[in-house]
Amino acid sequence: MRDAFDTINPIVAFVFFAFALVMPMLLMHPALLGISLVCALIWLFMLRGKKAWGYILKFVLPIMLLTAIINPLFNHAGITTLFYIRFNPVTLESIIYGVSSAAMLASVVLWFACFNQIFTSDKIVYLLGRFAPGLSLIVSMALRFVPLFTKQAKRIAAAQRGAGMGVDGGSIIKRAGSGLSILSSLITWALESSVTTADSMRSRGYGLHPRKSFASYRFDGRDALIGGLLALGMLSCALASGFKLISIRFFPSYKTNEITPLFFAFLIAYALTLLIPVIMNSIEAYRWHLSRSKL
Amino acid sequence: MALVEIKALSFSYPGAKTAALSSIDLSVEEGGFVLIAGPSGCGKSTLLRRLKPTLSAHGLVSGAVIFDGEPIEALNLRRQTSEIGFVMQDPEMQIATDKVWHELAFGLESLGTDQATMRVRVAEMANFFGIQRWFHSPVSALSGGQKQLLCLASVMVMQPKLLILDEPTSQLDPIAAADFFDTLKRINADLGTTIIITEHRVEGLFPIVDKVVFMRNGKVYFHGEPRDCAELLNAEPALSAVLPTAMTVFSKTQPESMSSSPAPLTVREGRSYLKSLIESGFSSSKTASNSANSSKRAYRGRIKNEMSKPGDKPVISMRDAWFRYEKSSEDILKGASLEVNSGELLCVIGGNGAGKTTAIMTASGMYKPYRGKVLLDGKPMSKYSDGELFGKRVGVLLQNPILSFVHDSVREELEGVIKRNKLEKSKLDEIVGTMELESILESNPYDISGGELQRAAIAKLLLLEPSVLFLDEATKGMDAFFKEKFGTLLRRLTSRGTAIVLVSHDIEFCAEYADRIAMFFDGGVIADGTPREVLSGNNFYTTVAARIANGLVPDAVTANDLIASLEGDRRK
Amino acid sequence: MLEDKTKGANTAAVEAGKSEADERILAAERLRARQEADEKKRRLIRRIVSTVLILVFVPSVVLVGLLEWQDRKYYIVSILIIIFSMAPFFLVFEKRRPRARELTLIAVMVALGVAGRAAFYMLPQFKPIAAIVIITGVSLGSEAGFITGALTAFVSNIFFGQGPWTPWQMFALGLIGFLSGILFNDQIKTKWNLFLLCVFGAFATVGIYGQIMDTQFVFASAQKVTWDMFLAAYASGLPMNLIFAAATVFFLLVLTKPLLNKLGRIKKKHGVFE
Repeated sequence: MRDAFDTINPIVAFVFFAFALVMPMLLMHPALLGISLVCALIWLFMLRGKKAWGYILKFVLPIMLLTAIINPLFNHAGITTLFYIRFNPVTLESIIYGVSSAAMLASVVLWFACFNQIFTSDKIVYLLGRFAPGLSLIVSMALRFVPLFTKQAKRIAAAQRGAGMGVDGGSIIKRAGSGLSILSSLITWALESSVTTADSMRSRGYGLHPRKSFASYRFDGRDALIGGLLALGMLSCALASGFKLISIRFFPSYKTNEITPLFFAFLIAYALTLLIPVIMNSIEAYRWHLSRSKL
Repeated sequence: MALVEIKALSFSYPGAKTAALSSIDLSVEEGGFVLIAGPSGCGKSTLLRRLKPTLSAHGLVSGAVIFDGEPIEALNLRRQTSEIGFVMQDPEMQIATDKVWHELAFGLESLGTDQATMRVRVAEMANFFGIQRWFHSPVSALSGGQKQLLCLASVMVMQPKLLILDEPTSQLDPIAAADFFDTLKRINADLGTTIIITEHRVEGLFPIVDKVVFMRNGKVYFHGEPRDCAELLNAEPALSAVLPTAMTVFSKTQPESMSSSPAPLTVREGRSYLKSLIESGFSSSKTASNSANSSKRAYRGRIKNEMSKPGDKPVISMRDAWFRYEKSSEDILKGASLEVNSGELLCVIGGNGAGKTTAIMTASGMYKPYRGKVLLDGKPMSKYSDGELFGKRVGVLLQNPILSFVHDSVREELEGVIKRNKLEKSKLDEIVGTMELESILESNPYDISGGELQRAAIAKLLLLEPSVLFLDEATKGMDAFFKEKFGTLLRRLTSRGTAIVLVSHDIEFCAEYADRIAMFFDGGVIADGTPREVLSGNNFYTTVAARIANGLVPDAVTANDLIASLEGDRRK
Repeated sequence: MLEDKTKGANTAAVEAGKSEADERILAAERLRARQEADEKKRRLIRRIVSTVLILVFVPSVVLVGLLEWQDRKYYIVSILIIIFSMAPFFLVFEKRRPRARELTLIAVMVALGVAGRAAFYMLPQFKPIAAIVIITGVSLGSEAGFITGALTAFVSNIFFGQGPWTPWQMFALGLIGFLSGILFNDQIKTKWNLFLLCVFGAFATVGIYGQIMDTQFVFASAQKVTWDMFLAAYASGLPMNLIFAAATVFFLLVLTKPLLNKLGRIKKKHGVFE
């Protein structure tokens, strides 16, 4: 099923991801990191199903392990020394710090995994087009050329083989040589044909000013609602860190803020903001369920 | 009122000795549909580009082009963009962006149209061209025909007054081309857009255009209604190659009594002309020399058919070959069998997706069938290594011959082959002579025409003297004059013993030059024999001449056959 | 004037038309020469501006970051620095409204770099990507070199997955393209020049690309950084960086000459980047 968040206006979606990515980097508070990790994980499983396991096991866990181990090995700050490795102290603070870093990095990587699912090339080109039309056009053209060149490289390989210029088997040097002659033909063809592309762009008025970007995405009531909620979430984060509701210190000794009801309220607001996509999906699934059961 | 007026326009490229265009006078009415025909290099593309200043080449210009009452140079980029649309030959590289919707919107983005209007215009065009279904597709998922339609739509979205098309269907197969022409007809009729087009495929265009311009050596040679072109033929019989078949047959066989009747353009009109001719019982008006000439040409086909005896030892024989690209994909070849005899020109025809290209790829050893056998000189293909097979025994030329070129000039390309295979240097001059490459020897492969490129690519293959040549879509994009030259060349090669297998959509060409035709459908050969055997009985998949002659004149598959048999009957 | 032309049937008028045309061409040439001179001036100014920006802007962001955000925010500060230091290049490029032909050429080079990364998928780190960016910088100039490098990284991550490493890769490859455009001109004629280019290629891959990516690894994995962490990261990254350097030198050796020739031909055809 298509993800509900996929249909959100790309600008709103981008702000959401920026928020989700930046918060754990700024505030490596265990509660915050935990919430961020859980929310990202739930959504990733919604987006990718069982495939998410492969990504987590092969990519996220190794990064976490590496980070958690590297920090105490290299960082000897902190006052609570637990033991020594080759005369270097390993401190409790640096272990806590290592685990927090690992969680932070994992949440960044997981949010990016969701980002890559939602931000298809269309949305990237659209978003870029609003701010940098020239660059967006280059990206769009390059996105078109990459599969085209790959296909063309295969055709060139076949053409050269049929003309007796190919190499089957043979040494690596021979194969590299034939690979290079394919690359060379491809480059020539690509460069020569680019003249046509430029002509066709100019004949359709490229260079006129001002250039507009076709918005294939609208900004509707739902986008406004999500945007508003996002703004509230961000505001609460700003207030919470401004009034020291949430704070953290790792060195020389580990110290976090006091746990107050307001702190809990903030955590709930934060979690709800990050759960927007998950909630949207759930509501949509429920509505489908309802409409089906009515039938 | 005339939308475009060209007055005494001359143009020469910088440093060129002869003018590319010389004193052209032409006017195109608003809502007109004009075909500009003529051999490659006659200046038609140069002329079209003068009508779109952003695309005009630098050089020496005199005379004027008036567009909508103003000199065309005075048009600013904005008006030029929105009022003059230009579609080029190559559908692949004209498309700039990666998505269909984005490409459609490109022109409007340039013009800075507001979002609401942009949406409506894009939606309108998507509807008109029937591309809603692939509106969100990546461009890479489209077929060639769809890509060219997209190029057309992305120009039409700006609602131009004038639409210019430079050989838009030269890279398309006949069905996609027919679709494209239909769309043009609708644009002209339903939207009133003025259209100027150059094209080699005149058969489909003659019935729908209202003016035809013939160009030669940078000059307008003829300008008039399509039906009036018949007069041209009387003056210059060689032009028959660029006119619709019905018209050619008409102008060569028309008795004096019918000289005032309008020339037929379509198959239907051709047939009714033929019927009336048969009913009236042929009263000859043509000179004897003319008819003798044509019948000689027709006889050439018969004689060569007798020469290739069925008992010849096959060079390649493919038996019951089955092939698919991946284990789970559909079969492309389903028990296809094909024999290639030495010294014969075998043409492989069939619709899109019938498996023609796959068949020659399998027969040439490029692909391995998963069932069935392919023998080369009686030995299984699999016994040869790539090095033994390609080049020396089998030469394969795929579509788009430019892809097999590596170097910066034709000479370097040929010398590269000689060096790599340690051949004698004298081979170069020999092949240059046979393939008539002197004039393009030092040229960059990207600067020469499609026909010349095809010749240079074949020359490269011939250096190694393979016993079989496989050519895929070799006549694509060639004009009638080049085709004739190319056909003669192929015949010369077969007479020296080389077997040639040619895949083509161009049934006319196959009927004229092939020794044998194999017709593919659904992964197998459904008919195999001389052009006459295969084509004369067909109703649809055959030459235009055969469709005109069907049931009226037996066994005529080319225009020349038809003319000869009419002339012959008349002499009796 | 129009009337004159339309009456061009008689020979006198044709003659007049010809001389008129000659004059037009002369005038056009003069105009073009002036435009070219202007363009050269503007190009120089642009280059100075962008060099100043990269030399002043980046350190100032670093300074602000260190003073204001103190420890443990290295990661986010470093990412912001990277993004801010690329911004001027992109801004300058957008502001001058590049021509269609520049865009298509850059897009082709970007796509070649990305397709090259995909084509050699079986050999980790053995990619022509840096070589193509360097040659682009050499042939099309430092600005195009930067844009090509940065966008090659960006577009290839659209295929292989964006991550926190994207800005770093963009910056590293962009910088390589930028420097190659500044250090070398179009004329790689002698063996010595080619040798120098290869030396630069090796340095750029190990010293710039490798260094930057290893640094991002340190920042990503440890917010409290120490010098020995950097050393360890550089040491562990070295083998991969060396393979990449070898690949770059190899591709530079075989591709530089033909690619420069081809780009030269297209530049001439297009009349851009001169």
